[in-house]
Order: sequence, then C-alpha cells, then structure tokens
Amino acid sequence: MLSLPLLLGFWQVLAMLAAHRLFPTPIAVAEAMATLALEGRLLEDLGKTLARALAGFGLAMALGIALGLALGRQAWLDRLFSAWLVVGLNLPAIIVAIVLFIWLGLTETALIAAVVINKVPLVIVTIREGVRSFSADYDELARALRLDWWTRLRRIHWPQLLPFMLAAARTGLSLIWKIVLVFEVLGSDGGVGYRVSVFFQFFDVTAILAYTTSFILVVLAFEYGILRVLERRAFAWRRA
Amino acid sequence: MAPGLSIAIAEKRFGSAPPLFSDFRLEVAPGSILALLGPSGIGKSSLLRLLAGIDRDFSGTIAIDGVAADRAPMPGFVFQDARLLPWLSARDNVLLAAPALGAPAAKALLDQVGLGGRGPDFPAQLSGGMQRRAALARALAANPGLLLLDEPFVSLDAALAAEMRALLARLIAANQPSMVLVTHDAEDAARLADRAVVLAGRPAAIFADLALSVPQAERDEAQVAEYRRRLDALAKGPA
Repeated sequence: MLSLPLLLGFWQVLAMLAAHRLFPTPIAVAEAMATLALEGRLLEDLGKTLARALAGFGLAMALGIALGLALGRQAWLDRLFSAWLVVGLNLPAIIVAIVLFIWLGLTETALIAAVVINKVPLVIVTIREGVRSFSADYDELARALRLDWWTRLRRIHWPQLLPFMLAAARTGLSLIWKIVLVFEVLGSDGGVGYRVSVFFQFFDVTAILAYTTSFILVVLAFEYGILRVLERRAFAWRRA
Repeated sequence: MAPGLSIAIAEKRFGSAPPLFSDFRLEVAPGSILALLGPSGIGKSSLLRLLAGIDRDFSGTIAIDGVAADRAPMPGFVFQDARLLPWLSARDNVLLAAPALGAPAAKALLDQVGLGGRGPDFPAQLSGGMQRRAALARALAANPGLLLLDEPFVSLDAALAAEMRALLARLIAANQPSMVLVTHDAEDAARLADRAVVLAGRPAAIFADLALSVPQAERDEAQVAEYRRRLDALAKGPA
C-alpha cells in the first residue's frame, strides 16, 4: 500500500518540475475529477461504461458457462467446435466490433454483442478445463449416495467449478473493461471511451487522466469489493 | 431390518479384458457380516460397487431382499479413502447422505463415532483417523440395513486400525446391519466377520467359504488368532 503514496508523490514532484499543461499534477487531476463529477458528465459516462461492461460480462459468462459445461461433458461437441474455439480466441476484437457496427449500426446492441463475442471463447475454454478436472472419485461418491442432479450440481460440481468461474470472471472483466472502452471510441454516444476520445481532440490530458483514474477506481472497487470478497467466502474451507 | 443378498452375475468385464466374473453366485443371509478376501485385482472392490449400484454395467442380477441392487434402499458405503468433500463441514458431509436427518441427528451420529464437537470443522481440520470416522458416520446416516465397506482400515497405522475395528464392532452391535467387508487383512475378518469368502482366479470364483461360528462378541484373542491363521492360509489361494 506504501507504493501508491510514493507514486503520487513522485508524480507530483515530476509534474511540478515539468510545469507543462500536458503533464498535470495528481492534485490537478483530482480537482478535475471532482469538477467533472459535479459539473460534467463523469458519473453519467462511468455509469454507461459500467452498464455496457456488466451486460457484456453477464451475457458472456452465462453463455460461456453453458457452452463450457456442454463441451467439457460431451467429447463429440468438443471435437466439433474446438477449431471454432481457436478461431474465436484469436479473432481480433476490433474486427468483430467494426463488422457488427456496420451490420447493426452504432447501437448498444452492436457494442454489447461485440463484447460478448470477444469474451465468450475465453470463458468456454476456462469452464471446459474446469469440467475436465472434475474428480471421478467424487462422481463415484455421488452415485454411492444416490444424489439427485440438483444436489450433485450444488454440492459436488459447483464447488469444483467455482475456482474456474472466478478465474474466468477475473480475466473476463479485465478484458471487457479494455474492449468496452475501445468500442466506445469506435462508435457510441457516451461512456468513458467516447469522452476520452473527445478530450483527445483537445489534448486535454488532465481530463483524460481524471477519467482514467475514475475508471481505475471503479475497476479496483470491483476487484476488492466484490471478487475478492466472493473468493474469500467461497474458499473459506481452503484456509481452514 | 438387515437384508439378505442374492448375487448371480452372468458376466462382468472391463473393456476387452478377460471377464472379472463369469457365472458367479453368492448368497448372503440377512444380518450376516461377510468378509471378502483375496489377492489385489481379483474383483473384490468391483463386486462391492456392483452391490452398491455404483456400477450397473454387468449382466445378471444382484438382489437385496429380492429387489434389484440399484432400486433397493441405499446401502451405507465406506470407501478405501475417507472421501469427504473438502468444502463441506464434517456435519454437512454426514448430511449429504441423508439431508432429512437434520443437524441434531447428524451431531448425534458424529458423537457416536467420537467426533462430538467437530461437526463444524472442515475435513482438512481433522486428522486422518477422524476423517475415516466421519466417513463411517456418513455411511450410517441413512440408517442403512446394509453396510458395504471397501478396505476401510487400509493405510491406517496398527493402533488406529485397531481403534477403528473396535468402533465398527460397537456400531455393528448397535445397528445390527448386514455387512460386506472387503479386506486384504485376515485380522479384520477374524475380528469382525461371521463368514469369510476367499476369491481366487480369473474369472473370480469362490475358493473358500468359511463360517466363523464363534459370535463376534464372544471371541477371545486366542480365537481371533486361530481364525486369522486359518484365513491367512486360505488367502494365499490355490497352490
């Protein structure tokens, strides 16, 4: 935690020495953040980006988990789609976005669909590996105890899948934050990416850094406020 | 009520390997404590899995009190390892076998196996012996008439194995189930069983079928030693 004040101090000193409008001090950036939040559209833009990222994330996770489970359980499905999965994993995100913007227009649907298409293959692969790592011993235990499918899912499979789901969520979110911003630059009517591209036209580095810092704070809030809390609760037994 | 078993396996094989069982028949009387002995790989554990309905890939019939094994009331099953789910507490592992049991009854079961107060602990917080005892409590959770145990004392040190045998003897006396105990150790059979069947050959056949007629509770060390000596000799199989 000490690194953060050190970095801010270093940045402040360097910016004061440079004394140039293209290299603002952290204090100036913090002031800009407050101004943009109170008088500008910072909160509105953050909300838009967050809504897009969460919609894309939710859809990609739901689809990816369902398909990952199917491919992990059914070898023939895996053989059928494994080549497409490789294509999906390596497809440049920008091309997907451009094609969807051309087909569907500069709409929310196109943007979220582009996010989902980019993210889904990664979730599928992670979940498929999770399913493949299911313990045969626990499956045998489930048969010995004659557990119904719901109890098997809840008590046997879900806990084994959870680390893979959290890994997919974490890598997924980090990817989605970035591509949502790029897609907003390409075509949208608001959001952090869109606004940063506007500030770029004016070389307004202070505003760009104010937006970037706000965005980073949101990402950190997700990581430490939600993901790590979930992780701690889900894996309490590992620390026992 | 302890059920009787009627086993008539026409054939059981794994893949293209020679059959493990072919035209194999065995009757087990209600309330009997049967020890299954024989060399490794002979099919003892496979037979136990067929009895439990875990493996249904065979031809023939296995009936528990006249009902096909996979439709008969669930037997209690103890694996070679404790096989507790590490993400569930000891109490929840017990409740997994009988959710309707309720927490107080699960606690009473854990008390019965000497784990009173350890119900909220995760398996990683229990010693190896405690985990085995929790697995035994899980097997008893549904109050089964039939107990199936697959080498339950394997890899335990001598003192712990003796402690577990004594615990199992108490539980048998209290619950009066039918039981099939797979073991490679004549000591287990000599102390717990009232009948010992030794398997040999491929396909497996009954090489010896020995009644241990002195009631388990009345056996002294000399009687146990005598049974062990006879079973050790039989367990070597045909010359």
